[in-house]
Amino acid sequence: MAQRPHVWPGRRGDGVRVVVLVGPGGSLTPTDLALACKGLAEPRFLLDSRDPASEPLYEVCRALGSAERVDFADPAACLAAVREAGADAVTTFTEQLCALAAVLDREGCGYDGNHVAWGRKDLQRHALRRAGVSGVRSAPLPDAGALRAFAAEVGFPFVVKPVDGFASRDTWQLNAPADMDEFIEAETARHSGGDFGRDARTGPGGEAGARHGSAGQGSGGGGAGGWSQGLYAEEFIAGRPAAASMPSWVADYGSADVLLGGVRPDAYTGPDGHAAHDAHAPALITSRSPLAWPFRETGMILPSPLPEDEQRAYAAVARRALAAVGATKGAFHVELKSTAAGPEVIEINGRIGGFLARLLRLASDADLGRQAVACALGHTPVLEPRWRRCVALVVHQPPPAARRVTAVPTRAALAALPGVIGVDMLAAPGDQVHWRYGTLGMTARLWVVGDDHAQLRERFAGVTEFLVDRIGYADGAGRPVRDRTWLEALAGSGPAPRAVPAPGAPPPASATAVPARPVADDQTTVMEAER
Amino acid sequence: MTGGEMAELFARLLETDIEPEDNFFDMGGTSVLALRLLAEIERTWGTALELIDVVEHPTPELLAAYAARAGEQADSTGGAR
Repeated sequence: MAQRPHVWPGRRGDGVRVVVLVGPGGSLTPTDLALACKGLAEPRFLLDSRDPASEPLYEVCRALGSAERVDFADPAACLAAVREAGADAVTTFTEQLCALAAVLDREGCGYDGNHVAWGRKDLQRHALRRAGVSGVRSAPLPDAGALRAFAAEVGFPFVVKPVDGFASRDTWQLNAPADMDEFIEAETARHSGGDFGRDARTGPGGEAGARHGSAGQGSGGGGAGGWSQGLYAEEFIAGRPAAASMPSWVADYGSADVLLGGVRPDAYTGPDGHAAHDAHAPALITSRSPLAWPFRETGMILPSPLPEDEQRAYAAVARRALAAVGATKGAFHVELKSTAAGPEVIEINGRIGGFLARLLRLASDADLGRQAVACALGHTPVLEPRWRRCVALVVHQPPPAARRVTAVPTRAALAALPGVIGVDMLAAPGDQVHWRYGTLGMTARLWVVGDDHAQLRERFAGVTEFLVDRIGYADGAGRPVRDRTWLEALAGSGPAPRAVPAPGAPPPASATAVPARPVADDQTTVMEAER
Repeated sequence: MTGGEMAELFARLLETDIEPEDNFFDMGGTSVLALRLLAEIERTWGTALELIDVVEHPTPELLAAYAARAGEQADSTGGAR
């Protein structure tokens, strides 16, 4: 028999207020939020007064209603603002603000839950292992000795990243001892005279400081940004195709966005272990297209083409993971990789995934943003999308050897391609590119629809082929760069998507010790700041 | 104002060809750009709209129809919306 869960009493009607902490890179824009809140609650936007980059966002928030700037490094001031707003709940869609939002929701609105170590991925991994949800070994890295000890214990490859990192910044994949030596040298130089991998935190809730350059601003190579706090290492998660029948355009990783309305995700234990969960902690499974070399995202697909049993397995692992880390109320984005032992957690985020609300809106009648706000207010979530069509987000990445854009098609030409319903980002001739910019180094972003997965796949391939042919690049010496390797991998006719520089072009620097994502995470959310 | 006129305004701001049924945000429009769109609408047609109006009526066709209604309403009540 199902246990009776604790349910946070959600409120509806006039006078309900939700404070939303807003920062650049949120997975819902203020305009999305204003729409999501309509008839549900009055949004009060809170922005960090220390962050000059949030000025345009502040103007947008003011145009949408109530907005206030507060020093996010001053918890007392934040709490006073929440209380003054008469908030029923506090939430955020910005990764770096999740910890602060949870604290303010507890102390300002009296919600006793969501005791999650946001901003401490190392502690989250530890909790997952302790609960038996994850088999990935990890260790803190107070010094180079600890790194060498970890390498001796788990072997190569493995991953090093900041415990409070986001958007794959400063994330390294170490494939061999030489990579490790290079990493240690770089890290020691960066922190000369200081402790290995340690730096001052700049705000509450694990918020990274502004001196972290965005990848899109050229520091994605890891050479310019400092570590925001401690480092930790964890095993590389070796993926496998989600199912033998999976077509090559579906990657071995994806995500589950789980909605919780104040109920622990493991509170219901029905006979089959799943049915009750499905009703009370609905999950949206999203698939991805294969990464461009080395770790750049190329697209998202809804509905997921994964087999039903694999989707159920993704959802079940995501719910267990959320229970293990203490998540109880809100919307959560859990990234997962298909492995031989079943889905493995890549990481957990305290908000919905970037672009997903829009992707779902285009594919179905469901409103993920509205449900996320409803969950924050403690309502029981309802997520039963009736699919209208299949939708993909196409994120086009430059070849590894490319350093500059030399030609682009017009937006109109792209919009006229079969299935394209939106072109919301396009590079311009002269723009600098580099594979080290990571996913943010994209040169085009389009939305493509199809009646079914077969048609969507065909259109996805058509659009990417068009982009490969029509966006011109030059390498560092000004020579033209053409590269169809990723296209061949997408079509299943090529090797693993490992791009080869054009003849005569210099190879990508440091192709082994790559300060980029070893696995998927939500770098795309950073791009939301553009909107 | 017509959907075509509004599409021309969208096109100018977004620097691309726009059809009356194209979604402002799907064609590269940002919230900040939407604020400029509102200013242009008020300057050109004298109709004051709010940002949420663009979000709820994101195509030139829908926004032109909504702005026309809002303008008529403002005229009948003797003031700007």
